[in-house]
This record gives sequence, C-alpha cells and structure tokens, in this order.
Amino acid sequence: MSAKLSVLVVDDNRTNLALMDMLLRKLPHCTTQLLTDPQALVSAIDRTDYDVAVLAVRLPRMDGIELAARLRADPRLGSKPVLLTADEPDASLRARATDAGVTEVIGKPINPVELRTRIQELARPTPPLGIPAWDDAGGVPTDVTAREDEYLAALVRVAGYRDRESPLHCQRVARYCTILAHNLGLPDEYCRDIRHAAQLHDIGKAGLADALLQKTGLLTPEERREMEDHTRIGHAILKDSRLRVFRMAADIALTHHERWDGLGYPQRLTGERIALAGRITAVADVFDALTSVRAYKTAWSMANAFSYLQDNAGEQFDPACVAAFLVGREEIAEVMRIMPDPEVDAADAA
Amino acid sequence: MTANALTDDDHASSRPDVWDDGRLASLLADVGETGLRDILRLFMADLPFLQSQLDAAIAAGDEAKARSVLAVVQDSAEALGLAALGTLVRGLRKDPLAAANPVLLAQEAARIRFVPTLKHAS
Repeated sequence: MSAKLSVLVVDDNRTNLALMDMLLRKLPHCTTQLLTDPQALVSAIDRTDYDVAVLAVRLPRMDGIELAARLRADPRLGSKPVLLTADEPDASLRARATDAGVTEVIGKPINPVELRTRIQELARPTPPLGIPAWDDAGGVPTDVTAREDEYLAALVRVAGYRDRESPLHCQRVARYCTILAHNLGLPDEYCRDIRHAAQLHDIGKAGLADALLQKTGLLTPEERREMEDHTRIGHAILKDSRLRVFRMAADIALTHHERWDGLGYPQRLTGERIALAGRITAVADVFDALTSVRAYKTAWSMANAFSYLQDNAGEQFDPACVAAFLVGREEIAEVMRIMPDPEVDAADAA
Repeated sequence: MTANALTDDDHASSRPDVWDDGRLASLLADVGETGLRDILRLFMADLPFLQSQLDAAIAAGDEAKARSVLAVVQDSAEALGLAALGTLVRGLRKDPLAAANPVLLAQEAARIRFVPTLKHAS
C-alpha cells in the first residue's frame, strides 16, 4: 500500500459516485478513482492499482460481484480489500459476495462515517510488532473475550487511584461514547469496543508525577506540558496490545485532546486525521467535564453543555459527532440521572 | 423540522416529508451545505434523462429497463436523504410499467427545490 490512500469506486450512478468522492476525500491523503463502466476497468486491469475497491452491486453488463471476482483473480490485485455496496443485501447476495472474495458488504444508503472507518481499517497495516492479533485473525482464545471486562476494570481502577476525577467520570464518558457511536450508525461491535476502551482515556495520568496530579492551583506552562504528556503515556501503555479493544483505547488515549481545527494536543492533528474513537471521546469527555463539578467550576446544566458543543462543532469538535451526540439527548439524560456525582446538586440553574 | 420547512409547496402537509431529517443532518454535517447542493444539482440534472428513459421503457413495454431506471432514481434519492421520492419510487418499482409512473415521478421531483439550512438535528 502506498503512503497515500487510493480508493477505487465503481458505480454507474453519477449521483452516488459524486457523493462517494466527496465523502472519501475527507480521509487523510485519500485519492479516488471513479469509474462508471466495469468493463473499462477489466480491460485496463493491468494498469489499475488501488488500496481499497468499493463496488456497487448493480452495474451495467457485469454486476459488482462478478467484477469483485475478476479483481480477486488478478495476481497483483487479488489480496486487496473489496467492499460491495448494495440496497438491502439479503443472505443470498452476501453468500455470493463472500464466494467471490468480497471483504464486506455495506448496505445502502451509505453511512459516511462507517464507510470511512471501514476503509481506514482495511487499509491500515496489520498490528504492531508483527505479533498476530488474537481478535483480527479469528483465533481468539475462548477465555479472552470473556475476561476483557476484568482486565479493563482492573486497569480503570489503577488509573482511578491516580486521578482526581470522580470514579464515575470514566464510566459516564464510556456510556456517552456508546450512545454517540450508535447514533453515528457504527456497527454494534464498534459500539461495544468503545464502551470499554473509552474508560481508559486518561490512563496515562498513572504515569505523571504525584506533585503534578495533586496540585490544586493553576499549572505553570511547564506543568501543563507535563500534564499533556498523559496522552502519549496512555498510548504507550496500550498501543502494542494484541486486543482490538486495547488498540482502540490507545487511539483514544492519544487523540482525545486533539481538536477538529488542529489546535489540540499532542500532535495538533486536524479533522479526520484524528482517530474516530478519539473524536467521539473528545465530545463525551468535554460534555462530562462541563456537567460535573470541578475544583474550578460548578456543574453546567445539560442544556448549556449542549449549547457549548453546538457552538464549538467544526472548531473544537467533529460536527458529525456533535450532531450524533445531540440526537441522544434522552439517553444522555438517563446516564446523568443514574450515575450522578455527589456534588452535582451545585448545578447551575439555567 | 417538518416538510413545510423544507419545501415551498403549500400543499406539502398532505404528503410525506421531502427530506429524511436524520440523513440530511448527517450529510450537512459531513459534506456541508455547498457539497450537498452540488450533488443535488447533479441529480436534478440527471432526472429528466432518467424520466425520458422511463417513458421509453414504458412505451416499449420493457419491464426490466423500467425497473432498472427506477432503481437508479431510488438509489440516488435514498443516498441524498430525499425520503418522499425514495418511498414513492420504491412503490413504483412494484408496477414499473404503470402509465402514471412518469407523472408521479415528475410531481414528486417538483417538490425538491432547494437544500434546507439545518443546524444539527435539533
């Protein structure tokens, strides 16, 4: 795969093609090749290259499944992932697609966030250090998934001993992330993972000095830089895991203080260069901070916190994540109701 | 948000909403109002051609062709969040050679005048 991400899209519907082009170009360093005629692609297969192919199932002369089989049969392109887009794909179509070597079938209308997430995942190099991933290779030891909750709970407790935040902060943030991910239309598996992984967003604080963590007054610029290091520390703790959920937690730990406009830390990433899980957690983390009592502030009302998120969509936050979060208003209120901080009575009256 | 807020059709209240609010919010947040307007313009420019293909298919009694044209319209409509058009065409595909289909398609297309401004989904 090249440093740039090249996505081939084949669809004879010009509207779909234009929309896909616009959606995919939001991916970092992504270039698109747009084709309406599958036969033209087959004729030029020797000169074709891409990282991921996205094929419509309904195409003239040759359907997307047949085209996928042709691409898979090519010795040079055969290992490259192929996504198939289909209107209401049934079991029979999915079976045909699998037989033809299609990596995944995506239902229409396309969910933009899911499409980009899947393409990024499929184009991403395999896990770190060359260690085979338990959960990516389908070889998950039977007890591992069952024990993930225990491992995570223990890590969250470790982090909690070092953190000044309420012990419920991490749990609420994780719940909010799940609601947001669900409203973005992300798969159940992703929603389950982020519910676990987001609890570890501040685990890097376990690596900071006691004096820094326990300081109650304003931080000096040097202390602030040290505090910001919790993102890199958290990432270093988690990044080499063979478990997908921990690798997502590593992404979150590293990127949850990045800002959509590139003014965050530690890497000053912009837009979709920030991992989706980090963008989701940023919204949830700030919302919980606003609606909680902190040493320096009272708790904001839910309405005021929502207004803050709306006002900062497109600057601090991914606007799609903010929109999806606001849709979950009732579920969010329920989380606040069942998991309150003791001090929350001090909430402003607005 | 209601259909009346999204169209300039005085009689819109008796019909389904032109836009799917959720899809619209998602696309506006993603590609922006300008991007969505550009794609909608492309679709609206293609629509007369698709309608003429449908007319020709019906005149020739070519059910497969009529079904195929309607599938393209439905596909685009649902991708753009044009809920009423998508629902209408889904129904037309059950009897693709019905003489009234081109008229119904044109009537629904006439309701799509502009991309509404929508700040998030609230």
